Amino acid sequence: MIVLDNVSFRYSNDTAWVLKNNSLRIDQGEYIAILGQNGAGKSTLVRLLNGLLRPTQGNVYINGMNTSNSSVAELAREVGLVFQNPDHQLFAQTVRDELQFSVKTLEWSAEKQNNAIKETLTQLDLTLFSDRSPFKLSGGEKRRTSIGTIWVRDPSILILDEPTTGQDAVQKRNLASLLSRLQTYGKTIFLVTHDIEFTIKHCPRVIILKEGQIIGDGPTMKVFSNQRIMSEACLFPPQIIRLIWKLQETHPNLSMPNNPQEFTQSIENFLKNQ
Amino acid sequence: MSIIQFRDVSFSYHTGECDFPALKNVNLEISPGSFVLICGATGCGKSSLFRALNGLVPHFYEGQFTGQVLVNGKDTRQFSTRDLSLEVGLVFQNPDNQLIAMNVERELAFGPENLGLSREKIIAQVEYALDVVNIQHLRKKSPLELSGGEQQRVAIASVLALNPPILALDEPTANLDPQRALDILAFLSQLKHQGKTILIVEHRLELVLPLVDKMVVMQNGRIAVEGSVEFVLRSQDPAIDALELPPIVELFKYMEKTYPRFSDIPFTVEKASEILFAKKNEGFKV
Repeated sequence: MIVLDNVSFRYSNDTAWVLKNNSLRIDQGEYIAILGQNGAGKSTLVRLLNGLLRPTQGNVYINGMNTSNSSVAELAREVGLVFQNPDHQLFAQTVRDELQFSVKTLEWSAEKQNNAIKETLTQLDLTLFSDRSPFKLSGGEKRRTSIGTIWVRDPSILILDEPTTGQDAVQKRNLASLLSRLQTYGKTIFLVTHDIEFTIKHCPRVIILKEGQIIGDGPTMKVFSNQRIMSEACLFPPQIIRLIWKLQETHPNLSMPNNPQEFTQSIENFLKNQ
Repeated sequence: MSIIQFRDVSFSYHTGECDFPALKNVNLEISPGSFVLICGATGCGKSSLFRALNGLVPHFYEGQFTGQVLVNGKDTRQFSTRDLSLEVGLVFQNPDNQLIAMNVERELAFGPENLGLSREKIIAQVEYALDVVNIQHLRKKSPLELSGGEQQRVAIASVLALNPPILALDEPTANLDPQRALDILAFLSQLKHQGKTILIVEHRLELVLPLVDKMVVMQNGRIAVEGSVEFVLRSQDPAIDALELPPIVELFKYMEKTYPRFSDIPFTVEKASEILFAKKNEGFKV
């Protein structure tokens, strides 16, 4: 579980606040996205979760541990961060070496380490590539390897920074099914993203950040269809929501679908009802 | 008359062990002043196509090149990349890979300086680029202290400082939030209206389609489908599966399949709502 208790942060006493009075609770096993304009404070928030930064005011708790009193090593066991660009994360000779390096720092028996590596290779469909150089893999395979290096440590919270950037539709679909599969293992999946269309399709909950403050938090469809939040955060609402708004201008009884899967049904209802 | 012509162009990179075919028998004509979207799965040949535009393929990248690319009438094999840089400006996805100077003004002067232009001419070109992209206020700043959107504008300006008639942009908005991405796309559309030819790779179709005159879908080094947006969206070609179609397009493709009287494929909210209102007024029954 992640808890932010009235958290504020600034890099030094004479600089502006990057995060201001944010409180938040994310339960274990949630699949959640955080959105906001460039510079809204998303990266700072993520760094507060894995202990790279400590709050200036307030407290951050990860599975009950106060990050202000915990080491980065302790927190890294709970929170895994996957970088936006796999090239910034990968360095070893083979995919297996990448995973091996990642577990080496944990106080695990050799057997436990080997089992974790084997399982990760299977769960992320990497077994075939285990002896290949990560740099000779395709973009999607590289991405899976970079997730694997974190996954192998068995963190309870997995944070992915902009995982869909530069991915084509097929890679995005594969990533989406991988993330839903990982979530079934009870992990918390936390995306930092600009990808509104991906978020609306896959993440049940969303947080909107603007100038260091959480201005929206709740079920994705509900937050994205809140005109005030979206315009305040300068976010461009997803197409399906904009279409429903447009139709509602003359047909106020038309209801917003609860999820994107119900979108077609809503349009059919619109055409059907007088 | 086309400003860009690819005539049966094939190119394979020499990668050491084996040749990697990146472009296969590509034929393409682009009219001047058009806004062209190039899309397709990762590795389909989009970047190689761009490199062939300004002569990086075959002058810089080793490989086997056949066919002919004409840019503003210039055969890319006969002209140096220096000459071709006056015809085509390339903008990459990540401005960090492109920006090198101490401040924005120096950054914009870098291209014209390398062409050996006179001091007066360099100053005029830099002023032109600052004005067109509307970044006069950033001129003394270091590119490193700018936001992602500002950096991308500087990258575009640095290319415009050479005032080429063609701009080719490889995912220029990938690192930007949707609002800033839209700002850049709207700005590119303005440049088109000033007569520039724009080629762009962009995955976020819902943002870019309303601006596009021609859409080209590539697959495995070939052009799979090309034409107007509506023509391409209707295509049954499997290459379309690699695109993330906007939800409205998905909706109307479903409607077309399910209900015989649905035959339009709109891609903007305005057009979609117009069609739905018309259908409802006609007394359409589902």
